[in-house]
Amino acid sequence: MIVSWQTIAVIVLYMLVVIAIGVWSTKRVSSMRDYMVAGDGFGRWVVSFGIVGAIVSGAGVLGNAGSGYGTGYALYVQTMGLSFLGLTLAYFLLAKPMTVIAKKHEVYTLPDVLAVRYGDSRAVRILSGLATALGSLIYLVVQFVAIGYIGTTIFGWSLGLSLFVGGAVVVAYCVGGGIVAAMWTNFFQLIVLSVFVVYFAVYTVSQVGGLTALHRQMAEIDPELVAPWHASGAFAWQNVLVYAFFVGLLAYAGVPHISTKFLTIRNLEVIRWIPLISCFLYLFAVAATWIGMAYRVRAEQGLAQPVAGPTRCCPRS
Amino acid sequence: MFGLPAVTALFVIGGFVAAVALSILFALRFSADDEEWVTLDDLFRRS
Repeated sequence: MIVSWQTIAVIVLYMLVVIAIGVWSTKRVSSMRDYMVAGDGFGRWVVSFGIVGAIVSGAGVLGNAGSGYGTGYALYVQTMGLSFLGLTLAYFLLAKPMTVIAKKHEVYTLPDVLAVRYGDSRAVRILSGLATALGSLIYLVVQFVAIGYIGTTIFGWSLGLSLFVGGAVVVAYCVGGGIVAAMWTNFFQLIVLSVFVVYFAVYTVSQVGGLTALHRQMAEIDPELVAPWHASGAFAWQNVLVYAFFVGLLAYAGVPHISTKFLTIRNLEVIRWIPLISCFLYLFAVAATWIGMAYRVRAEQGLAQPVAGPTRCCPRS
Repeated sequence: MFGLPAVTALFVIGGFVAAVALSILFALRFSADDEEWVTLDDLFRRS
């Protein structure tokens, strides 16, 4: 695909900024504690942006836009219907005890925390290490799918080259600065993603006449597009509700890329408002879904080109 | 609401509203200096 020099310039600029954040972070890291849990820790804004930025990222933008295009609200209800409650539940359950443990003990990882809580046995270390690796692996696959999509779609690179370049940038900003670099790049990325998604959501939804008109037109195309689940198939009510309960509501308290960030909270007072801030930051995931839905309506009306698959519904021009 | 069926609106809008309400309640009731957390070590098994 031939892309404009402006597009390439914006992407190169973005990559340079995250690498610059990584380089800047290395100067703030002088000990293992700085590298793993950010020394004295962060305040409420960096923690909130760091956690929500880690959750949404590529899956939140490309995935939710694709789910809106492909299934209407069914996949959204399945993955996001209880996720606001799930995220706040994770804060309610874990933020305070993990902050206290991080301040009282020399803990850097989730296995360290569990060793403090349940005793430092080999079984605790192995099981928690395996769970952390498995949870991170599954989550990272989604992120690298998104990286591969960007490289193949915008630059026309092969999937291997896309993953190599994207992976190299991620490694460049993470290795030197540790958790400091990760939290600040999440902060920057979430701002960029929010601006992008809110702009396109307002633009695409206004093109179909607003949110109520969007839902009415979706129902005219297929009533299942506005239903919380479908009559049968992968999005039958049983599948949607079971997934929403176990993954949307309960899993946030168990995933390592959230829980380890609780170790970077500066003090207990920081915890007070981060659930509320995070709820509002997470809202833009809904807006990403509306982009896909609005594009689906436009495509059904013959006003936009149908896309080859749900992951390709973000408008590019 | 916004032309959505009631059950869909419950998940899309209700989940967010409930989370915000709980978060406000959490913030108002949260204590950063309660005594029980000072002795947290004693609550944990260490071996």
